[in-house]
Amino acid sequence: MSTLTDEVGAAHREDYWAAVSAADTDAAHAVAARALEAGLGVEDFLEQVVVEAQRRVGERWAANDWSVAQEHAATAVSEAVVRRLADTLHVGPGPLLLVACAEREWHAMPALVLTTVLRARGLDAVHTGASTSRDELVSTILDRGPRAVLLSASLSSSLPRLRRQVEAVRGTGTPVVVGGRAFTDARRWRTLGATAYAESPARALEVLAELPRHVGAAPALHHPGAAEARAVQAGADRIVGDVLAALDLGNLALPPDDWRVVLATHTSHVVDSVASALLCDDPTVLSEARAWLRDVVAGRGGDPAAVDRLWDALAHELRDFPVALTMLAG
Amino acid sequence: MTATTRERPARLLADSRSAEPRARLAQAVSRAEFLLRLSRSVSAVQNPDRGLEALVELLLDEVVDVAQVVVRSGPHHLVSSGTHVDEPTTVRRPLADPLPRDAAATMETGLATEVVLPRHGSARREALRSVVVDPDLAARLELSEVELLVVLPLTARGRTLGSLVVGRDRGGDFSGSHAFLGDLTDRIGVGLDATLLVAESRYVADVLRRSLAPGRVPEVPGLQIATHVRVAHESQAVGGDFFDVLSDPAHPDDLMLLCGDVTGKGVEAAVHAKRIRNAVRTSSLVHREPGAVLALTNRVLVLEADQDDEFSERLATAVCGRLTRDGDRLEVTLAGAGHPDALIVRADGSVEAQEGQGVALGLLDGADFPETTACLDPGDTLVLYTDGVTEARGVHDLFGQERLEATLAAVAGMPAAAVAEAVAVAVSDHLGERAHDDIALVVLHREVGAGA
Repeated sequence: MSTLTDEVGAAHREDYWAAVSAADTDAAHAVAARALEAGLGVEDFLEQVVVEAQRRVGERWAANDWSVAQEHAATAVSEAVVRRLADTLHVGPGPLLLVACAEREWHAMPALVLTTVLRARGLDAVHTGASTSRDELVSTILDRGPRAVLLSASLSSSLPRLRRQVEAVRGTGTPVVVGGRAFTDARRWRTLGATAYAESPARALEVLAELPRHVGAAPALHHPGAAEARAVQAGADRIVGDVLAALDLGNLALPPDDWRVVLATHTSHVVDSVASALLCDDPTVLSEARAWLRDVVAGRGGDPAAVDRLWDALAHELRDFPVALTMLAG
Repeated sequence: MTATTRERPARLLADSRSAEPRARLAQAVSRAEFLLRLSRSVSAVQNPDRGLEALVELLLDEVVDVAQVVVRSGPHHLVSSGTHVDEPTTVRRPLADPLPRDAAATMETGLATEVVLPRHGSARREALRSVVVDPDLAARLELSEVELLVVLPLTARGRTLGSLVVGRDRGGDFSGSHAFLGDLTDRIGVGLDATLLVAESRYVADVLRRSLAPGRVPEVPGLQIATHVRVAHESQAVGGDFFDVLSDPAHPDDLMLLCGDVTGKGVEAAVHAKRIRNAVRTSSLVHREPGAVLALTNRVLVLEADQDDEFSERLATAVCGRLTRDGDRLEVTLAGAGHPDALIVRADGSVEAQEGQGVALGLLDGADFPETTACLDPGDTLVLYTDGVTEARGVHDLFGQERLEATLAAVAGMPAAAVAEAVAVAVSDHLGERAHDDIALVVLHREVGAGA
């Protein structure tokens, strides 16, 4: 049976990719309709076709084959397809599940896919949209009393903001499950105080079945890096400004996909990643960010050594933060 | 459940009056510690359904073997109940559905009662049904060894807001724990009272919020419309920026667009914004030209401002547009009232500001709102926005017109949702964690290809 669905999936994957690359929403809807008609389940369609296409979108951008604009356009098409799919699914009675994205994260797709998988399994899941603030989350929880909140984070630089969301959700007694690419290490979600972690929509279903109904407040973080994380977050604007000045990338009136522009716009993410590594007590946040950014810069014809200079400039700015310095050196 | 896990309830409820001092002290400490956790739990969960469930679960885990809480919440009785061997269930019942006799009596009189359960037969069934709301639970208890149910009033601010029913397995009673149960119901009463008050006012706010929220955007063949709104006061979820997309049911190709901004933030601004939207909707039934629609809207607002009403003295700006189709030709006519100019992003990436310069709304009776007209070709995108976009404050400067146009140029020809997202992301990155004004954006994209 799985070979059959694999075949059906493969048959539609390229058609879907063509529609997404051409930013053709109608064509993408049509592929979705054909795939489901051919017997592909919603979950298989999402996993084998949509998520696969999104992975390719990310690769194209990282390799500089695609502009940011193309990436946005392709993602908008997939979002429209998944949204329509989610709307057509009949949801059974049962406890409400709230699916949200980390604050200031605009990659809504993973959360949207998760919402749709949960709905396909008959669960009453609601997606609150990209970048859900703490206030919005708490308001929705108070009004609707969900059984659990599922928070998605794609970027490890979002984790300090995710921690605040975890605190807000647990403050209402509601269990919070986290997931997404930001969690490459199990230490991160435990330190951030999440109730559970799910690496895939399928795992989320298992985790939900074992979740406590009520949880207490998130314990305060007392490790030495936690205090430094707060200081870095509070001074982030100044640190970014000083690091950019030290890097001296020249006139940035360049196309948005130029490596210098990409490096400059990612500097604030790097500073957030420092706060993230400190808060999660996990230096791999920074080593991952460094490797990724080197690839991105190299993919755009820049010298990856510029990323090393960025790290040096950061170390200089953060010279009064011993834990941060150790992590930057790692 | 094993006997060991039920030792804790036995200790909390044990009659220790004749026990040695150390045992009495230990019990007093456990009771105080439990009451503190109970208070925290009841006051943390400010959603009535979940709050009740959390409460019943805590009671069943740690104190009693049977529990039922009934409170009045809006037009319902909320009932959560269960036993320590199964998960609690919560139901909402209309107030008109009568409660069981003894449960109702306690709600009315505010007095506690004890219901002794006969060992078996119809008398046992009758006694259970006089207290227990959930028929499944009553049926299960019929087969249990519970001999006594105590019905306690939940009181706060001199008012009985609900009742708590508790029972113990195998003939256990509450003879040594009346004072503890009194403390327990006091805490629950105060906690639930706050939760119910919050729920009541949130319900009112939610109705208001839904009535103020922008309506659904109509689907028009060949056009994509995307919107983005971010309010300054996120916990209020409403603001003074507004938009509307109105299609004439008789002429789906004839579309009226509106985007505007009322001074101030939060719910007061939203109330005034809703008035303006209503005025524009009414005006557009009379006139189809944006300049005339704004002129009539302006007259309404000037009249209202004269009537000395706290909501109507606010300044408002708006841009109003009309889209008409003639064969392949899609024409957009725009009129502005002190609002940032609408932008047309051509498929080739050039950005044109559509100048329409009338004064802000509600200031001058008889004000004039000149119109401009442009063509929207396949692949072109029309963008209406509020000054929350351009005035988003960054580290060094405001987001500004130049950044907005550069952001738009980079997504020329892209689907409307991608354009709206690109602007939302750019503004959000520029803002960082800084406070911001209300932000609204309407993006209308003419598709390339058949039907467009």
